[in-house]
Amino acid sequence: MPALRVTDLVKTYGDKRAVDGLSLLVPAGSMYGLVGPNGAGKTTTLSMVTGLLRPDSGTVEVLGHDVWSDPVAAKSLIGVLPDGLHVFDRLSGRELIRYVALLRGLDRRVAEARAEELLSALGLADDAELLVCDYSAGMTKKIGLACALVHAPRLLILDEPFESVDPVSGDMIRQILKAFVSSGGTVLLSSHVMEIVEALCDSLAIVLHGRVLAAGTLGDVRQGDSLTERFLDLVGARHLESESLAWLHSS
Amino acid sequence: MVALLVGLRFRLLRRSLAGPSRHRVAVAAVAIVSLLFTAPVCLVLLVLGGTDLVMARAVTVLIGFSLMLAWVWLPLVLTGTDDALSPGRFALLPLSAFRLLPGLYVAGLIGLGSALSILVALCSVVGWTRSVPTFIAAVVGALLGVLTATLIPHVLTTAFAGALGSRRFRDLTGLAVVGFAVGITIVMQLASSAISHTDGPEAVMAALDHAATVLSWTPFGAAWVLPADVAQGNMAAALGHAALAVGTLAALVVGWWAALRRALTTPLEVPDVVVRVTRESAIDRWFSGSTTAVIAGRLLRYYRRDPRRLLSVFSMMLAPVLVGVSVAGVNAAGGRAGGISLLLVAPFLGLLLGPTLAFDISYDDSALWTHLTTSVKGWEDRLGRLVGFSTIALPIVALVLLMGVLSTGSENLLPFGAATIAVTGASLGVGSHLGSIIQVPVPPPGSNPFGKGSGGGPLSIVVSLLTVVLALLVAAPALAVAALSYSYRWAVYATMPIALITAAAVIVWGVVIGGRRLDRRWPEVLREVTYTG
Repeated sequence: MPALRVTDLVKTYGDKRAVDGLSLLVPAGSMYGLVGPNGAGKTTTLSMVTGLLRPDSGTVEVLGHDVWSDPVAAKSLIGVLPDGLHVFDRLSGRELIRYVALLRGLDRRVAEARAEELLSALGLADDAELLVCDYSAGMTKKIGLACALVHAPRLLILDEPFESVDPVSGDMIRQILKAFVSSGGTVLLSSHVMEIVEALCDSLAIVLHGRVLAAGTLGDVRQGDSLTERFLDLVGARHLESESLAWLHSS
Repeated sequence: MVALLVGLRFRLLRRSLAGPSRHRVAVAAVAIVSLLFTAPVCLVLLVLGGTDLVMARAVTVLIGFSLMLAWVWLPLVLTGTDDALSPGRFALLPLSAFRLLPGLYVAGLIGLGSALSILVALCSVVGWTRSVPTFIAAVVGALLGVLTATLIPHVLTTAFAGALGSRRFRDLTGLAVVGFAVGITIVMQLASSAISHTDGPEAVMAALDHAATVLSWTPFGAAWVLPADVAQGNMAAALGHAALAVGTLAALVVGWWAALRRALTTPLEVPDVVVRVTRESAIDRWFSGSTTAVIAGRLLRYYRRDPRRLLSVFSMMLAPVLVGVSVAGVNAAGGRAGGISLLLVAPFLGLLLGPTLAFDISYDDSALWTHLTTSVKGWEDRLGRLVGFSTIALPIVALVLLMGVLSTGSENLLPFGAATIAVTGASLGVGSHLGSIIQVPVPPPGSNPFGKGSGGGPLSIVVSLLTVVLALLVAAPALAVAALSYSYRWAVYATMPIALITAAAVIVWGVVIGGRRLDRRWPEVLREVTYTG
């Protein structure tokens, strides 16, 4: 059974079809990348997959549970890190993890023990008593990841997890994700940085205008090129004319 | 610069009207209600020309002073609901405070409040056209008055914008609230002392005259008394009042300019001190048993740490201060406080709890997604917020009730206690339900200076009014029985059970029905509360 099966997902805003019949099959135990340029519909897709946005049509199944008809079972299996949404940032880092853990129905003692473990694993132990609104962007990403992990989900859905994260924290997150996958979990992450996806993921889908252009294992999609070249090829890259912006040349 | 900002303001206004239709309905409703309030005031001012001079003087000063107070109150209530022209947005542009000031002021004049204030001032000028000198004095006074009144929100919001999200915010808000409290207490004291005179109209008139004299020597009253001074031929008083009014205006301009300069140079709020919270507090121990308790516990933390929620706690604390000052004032004057006004404060405060509860989900902004992914049930969300808020609010209501009863007599405990319970419960229940139906996007404290304004102001006023009116309707039977218990024996026994049943029923309704509504449309609610900055 795939970890995630998305079928013919559609979302329209006015005349614009943000997601246009998108289908996706994420095998269990894979590190799956969702890549595409800005505005390709990645965030919209992930919002519908995680139950934050109601699709116009199409279905989403997490390990056999439909997100929109059987939400409680489906949501208990996934951990979510959205991009561009706030967290309850007037709580301290520790309070935030505990809040999410308790809402997830964990026992108070378990919640507290896991919060401490996650804080030290992500290098946030020294800042656990600071309010999250005083955190840097990278620290906020890390605390968000901790909240997504706290109930031991089977599927992690991360929207731009490496955005504005420094190299040290980025490496830490990579290690945690690899350990999560090697212990049987599944990760679906979005990014517009090809190098990250190429280095980390074993499978991926390239998305443009709300549709999947190519999907499969890294080797299948790359077809011998580097991922960046293949991506620019598929998306149709534009070259800068040599005469344009000539006034920028100062010498 | 002036034309540019005025144009921007007009475009923002037009866009907010082009938005969802309920925004248009809200704007229209607010306009109608405020016109209903303003029309009689204008009528009174217009007929002043034919009345006795003392009467005309007292009425003008009282109306003018109240107008100024309204301009202090408005930004306190609406703070953070619309920040389209907030100074932080201009911080990255090479503009000095001096160049921005006139444009921001004129752009700020475009609005219902300013239009109505100008209307009131014009009516006072017409009412004082007794002779050429009084006419000139009235024009000068009205001009000074309107300029001062419309400057007040700029000074307040700019000072707030510089401090919102920082620790300083608490001090500033506290100051503004206390200032407002003192003002309203003076008016209440004077009004009640005037009304309590039962020795005939002359005594009432004398009290009103005395009140006008006192108010005319405050910064908010000085401008409005000018035509009366001239009419009475009291040139020394006129000069003194004019000096006070001009001084107030100058102080406001300088204050605004200084606050604007500071806001332009420190737009993104850097926390003064990075706070460390305690590792484990009583909230963790007491509020962890269920989802409802956990949400209530978070709310308790937020009422201390979120400046917008803190503001509503401050406003609630105003009530006991008000009652205390009033009682002390009456006692100092050698009288015995027996006024029903003291007893009415508790149910009135309870009535105002509903709107705050209704807005609570909107204050969460997009962070609400956490409740969606963790499958929080609608009723758990409703009840958690209600419990968290009540833990702070109900003790204040009880304190105010107790103060009122202690200063008037224990025979009032049962009827007014019952009335307070019925109204408070009804308001909390209606607020719970309405909060699940209507959400108003609010800019988060210290939000991105390039975001767009939300224009949620009129909508939030409508939600408040709706909550209050519906709660009163639902609580009406319980209130009637409470009133009857002064005359009928059966009502004494019936009043408390009826009040408790009313409160419990409306709260259950609000939590269950409001919760079901949330369950049906969580994703839509998330979109509504997300502030697209």
